[in-house]
This record gives sequence, structure tokens and C-alpha cells, in this order.
Amino acid sequence: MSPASDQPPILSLRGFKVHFPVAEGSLFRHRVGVVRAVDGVSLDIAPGETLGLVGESGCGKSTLGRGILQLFEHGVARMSGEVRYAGQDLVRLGRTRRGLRRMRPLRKDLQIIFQDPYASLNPRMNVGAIVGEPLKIHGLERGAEAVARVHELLEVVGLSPAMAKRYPHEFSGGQRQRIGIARALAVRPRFIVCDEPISALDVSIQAQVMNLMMDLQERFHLTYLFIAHDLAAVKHISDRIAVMYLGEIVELAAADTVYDEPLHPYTRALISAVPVPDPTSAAGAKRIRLEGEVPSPLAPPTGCRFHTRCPVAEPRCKVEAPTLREVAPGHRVACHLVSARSEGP
Amino acid sequence: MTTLLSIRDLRVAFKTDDGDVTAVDGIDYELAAGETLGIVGESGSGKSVTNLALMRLLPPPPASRVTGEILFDGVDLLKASARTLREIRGGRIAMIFQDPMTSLNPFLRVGTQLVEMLRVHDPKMKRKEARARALAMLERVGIPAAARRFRQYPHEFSGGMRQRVMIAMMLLNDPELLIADEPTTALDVTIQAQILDLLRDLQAERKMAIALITHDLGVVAGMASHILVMYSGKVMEESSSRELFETPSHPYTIGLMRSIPRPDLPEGRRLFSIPGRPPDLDRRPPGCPFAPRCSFARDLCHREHPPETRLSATHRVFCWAVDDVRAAVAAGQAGLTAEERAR
Repeated sequence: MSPASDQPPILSLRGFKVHFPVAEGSLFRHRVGVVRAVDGVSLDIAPGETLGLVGESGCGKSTLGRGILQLFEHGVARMSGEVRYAGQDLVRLGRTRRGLRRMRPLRKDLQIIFQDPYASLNPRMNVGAIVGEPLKIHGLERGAEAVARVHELLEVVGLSPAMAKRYPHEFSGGQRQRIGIARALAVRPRFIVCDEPISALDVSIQAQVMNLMMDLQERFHLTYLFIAHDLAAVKHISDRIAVMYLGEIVELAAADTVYDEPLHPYTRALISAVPVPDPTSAAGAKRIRLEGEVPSPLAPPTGCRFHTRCPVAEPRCKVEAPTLREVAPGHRVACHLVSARSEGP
Repeated sequence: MTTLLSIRDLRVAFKTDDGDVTAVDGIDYELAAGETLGIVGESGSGKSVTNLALMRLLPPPPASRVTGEILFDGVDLLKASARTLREIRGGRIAMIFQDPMTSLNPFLRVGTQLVEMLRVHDPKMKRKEARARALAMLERVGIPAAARRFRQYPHEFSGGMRQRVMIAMMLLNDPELLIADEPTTALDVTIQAQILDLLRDLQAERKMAIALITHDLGVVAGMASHILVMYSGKVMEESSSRELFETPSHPYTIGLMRSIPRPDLPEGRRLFSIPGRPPDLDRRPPGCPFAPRCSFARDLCHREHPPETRLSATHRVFCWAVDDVRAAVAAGQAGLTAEERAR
């Protein structure tokens, strides 16, 4: 199932930035710096596709997901650039009260599933109330209709409607994640940010939840932004994969291409670091060792942000920041050393 | 190879308000000197509790009850005196955890903690010598600017660097056995690869045995010579790493392997998944604990726990249906449901 790339995108990001000012001092607060968590991301998401988003902790992948949905309070984060959905720029709407009111009906279309099924469900609400709450907020089904809808949703995610009366602590991690999915589906969304939805689950349960998510996508024509650090899972579920490093997209291509023919040195290192469950595999031998750790997003390196860890960096990488450009149809890379249609550095 | 660690019929039960909960239900295994054993299992399989029992880190009775034998170089750790234990723990047996932040003291400089580790086990060691050895060890585990880092506090280190500090601390006394409980689970893949490389190098250098506890089959495949698969407090299968991945013979092992996406192999879009979920430990079925989720299960499986079947000198499995399972693996049908196989 491939996305219809000829259709106009459901979401378009242009130069999207999410910056967090860092202040110090309790009485005389003064700004000491800015964390550039997301720093100029441009990409389109096609209707019905799953776009995988990978990168190490602190690369900004979760912030990007939440930033798209305008989940940060004004004043906490400074957002700029564009996030276009249904002819509106969500970043602009998010700046004013009037804009936020106008965004309300759009929010229904854009939902999120969180990583931690323990922290994201209110322990004092029963499952029926949790799954039904979005209906109330958005003024959808009420009364008996709402109850019927909640039962339908529980069935859709593979739980029994009889569980509506029970509380989150009575469920296992996998079941709680199903409750979180049912809640996201309640308002019939078009786009769902899946923020590490399987990371907290056991291996045998991860497969169940991933299968469920793929079934639901087909059934309800959903578009996913699937954020995870588990590259194997991301490759399995995604049509395309975007690789993020220190707030920027460094490579974006079809999932198979990113996995089998990565061009950016960072993508190559990331993929070669994934342990393969096969003791006879040769993967360990050709592993690219990355030295050091991700630099602080408070003071990202000059030029190409990856140059401090890059095994093939040249002098110009230190000064000139590469742009994300198309090197083959549908394959975009931000690296000076990758020339069009080349084999990579 | 000489046997360094031998665990016999180990059982661990915890007292709770709702009655006793058996977390480890009669397990046996051996670990040879210098070898790496991978212990694989999901939450609740008892893999971590086994090692807490080994280190005598469980709460004393009546809160927990531990029976069986844990022989380390001939000494039963369950009967050992406090003094013997003090010498062995942190000395001949060392342990690293998933989150090094919880095992480092946040109020003490990293250097102070390293020096203390040496002097606890050798009170006669001069402070200056301890300092030099600690510093050399920090350098050995790949901490840049070790002399400056020596004076810093744990919170000033990143997750990967903290795990390196932990490894340095544990190796100071040259342990014969390192227990690594999910040592890379909290780390990013590139940092995980660095830490695993480091562990492999250090092991080759020092000939120490490693018990690597993890839920990640990819990590054990690259590290372990032997693998123990646990489920619900019991051993399901134990084998040399190569045999386990070539001819997995327990339905649970097979299910586990087939439910991981394999980006290096072509595959269908739907993942194989084991139906249901592990039993609650206080409501474990009388027979094989995996039977309720198993497509090979028969009546006997639900009534009685299967005995050990030896498949080779280095491969044993606990399954009543092992012949059917082996036949299905050979026919490439192991992942199918019972009805699909019958067709």
C-alpha cells in the first residue's frame, strides 16, 4: 500500500522551527540561550501515507510531532515557519486567541498517540470516560449515542465493550496503548502523530499493536507520522522515512531506500548500528562506528551540524551548512559530499 | 571450560497482600568462565529477579523467599556469610543496571566513588594508587578528558557516559563475572553499539564471564555464545546462540523471533504476533505457562509442566510438543496457527 503521491499533501511544513528560550535566575530572569529543538524543517506528508521519523534522543523528533499539532503553550516555545493544513497555517493561527478558536475544528482532524500508556491515561477516569472525552470536547455524539460510539471504538481496537467501566490500572501496557488509540480515533481524525507508540511495550505485544495500527490505517484512511527510535519497526510500518539530526532533516526517502541505500553518513551509521537478530550476520563486521555523542542543541556546531562526528567530513563541512536537496527522484539528502545519483560519500 | 556459576532449582517467591507470588519457578543454568550467556525474556519473565537473588539483593524473608542453590566457584551464595558476600559482590561478581543514575551516588564526585570502590575491597591500598588506577580505568572505557571528568558529578554526564562510568567502576576489581541487566536499553542505537563494542573488548582482554540480560534478541545475537530463554519464571529453552537462531525449538522462542520486524529480510506487511499476553504471576496456569498462548498446546500442556528434552549437547528445551515443533520448523510452518498447519 503506497501513498498516492499525485494527490496534494495533507500537511505541508515550510521552514518550520520550534525554539525554546532558556532563562536563568529567579528574580531577574534573563535569557541565556535558545534550544533550537526543531530548526527549519520543510516536508510534505501525503494523504494515507506513514511517514517515519527517526533520530537519536534530543534530535527534536518528538518536538516536531507536538509542534505540528501546536501542543506547546505560547511563551514556552517560539514557533516560526509554516505548517499548512486544510488551507490554513497552524503556526499563524496558534499565535492569537482568535486563531486558536478557529483552529478548534481543525484539531479534531489531528490527533496524537503517546509513548507511555501509563502516564497518558487519567487514572481516576474509567475507560469509557477516557475514550468518550474527546467527543464531549468537540461537541460530537452525546448520551446514548456517545456510549454506543465508545463501545464501537473499544471493539475496533480489539478490547471488549464491557471494559468501559474499568480503570486504567486494571490493564496491561499493550491494552492501555489500545485505549490510547481508541481515544485518538474517537473524533474520526485524518492525521495521527504516533510518538514512540510501541517503545514501552514488550516485544510480543509490539507486533500486536503495530498490526492493529496498520489495520486501522487501511480501514479509516489515516495518515501517520510515526516517531520512533527503533529503526526496524519504523522501516516496517513506514512508506517514507525522514532522518533527523539536531533539529534538522538530513535525509528523506522511501523506507526501503533509506534502509538499503542510505546516502547521508549519519543515516548510514544509524542503520549499521542496529543489532541484527542473527549471530551469523555479517552486519557487525561492516559497522560504522560513530565517535562521540550528539552535541547540545543550545549551541549546535557551525556548518553541517553532523561534521563533529562525521567520518568523512571535509573542511567546508565546518563552515557551509548543506541544504536538503533532491539527489534522485524522491530521495533528498543534506550533505555536501553526496552528488546527484552518486553512491554517496 | 570450567563452570564458574551454577544455578540449581532456584525459586523466588514474594509475599504480597494477595498471597505469595512466585517470580522465579525452579530454574537451572550454568555459566562457564569467560563465556557470555544471554538471558532473554519479557517483563515478568523473572530474568532480573534471578540475578538480584544471585547478588543477594532481594529483601530478606519473610518479604521474599529464595530456595535452591547458587554456586559461584563452588560457594553457595545463598548460604554464604555476610563477609564472604562482601568480598564477592563488587569484587569477583559485578553488576551493571539499565539506569546507571540509580546506581551512582548523585552527591559524590565520580572520582570519589571510583576510589571508594577500590578501597572498600582493599583497605590497604594507598589513596594515590587508587586514584591512578581509577583514572586509568576511566580512560580505558573511553571517557574523554578523564582527569577533568574525574572531578564531576554523575548528573554532568550523558546517559552513555554514565554507563561507561558504571562499567569502569565495576571493572576496577577485575571481576570474574559481570552481570549486565539491560545495560543498553536506555541508550540510543549508536551509543548502544559503542557500549556493546566496549563490553566485547573488555571481555576479550580480561576473560571475564558476562550474564547479559536483555529483551533484545538483536543484542544477544551479537554478544552471547549461549542463550537462555525465560518466560513467566521458567526456562523455556537454552542453547548455543547459533543453534537457537538456526533451529529454535520452543514455540515461545519462535514467536518471539518472528514478531520482530527484520529490515534485513524481505517480508510481508503483517507481523507475526503471539496472541494474548503473559499470565499474571499469581495466576500462573498449572502446566506450561506458555500453553494458553501456544498454537501447539495439547491437553497435557495445560496440566503438567514439561520435562527437559535434550536436543544436543548444547541445546535443551522444555516442551511437550517438541517433536511437532521441530517438524513444523523444518517444514517452514512454525509460525502458523494449528488450523493453518493442518491444512
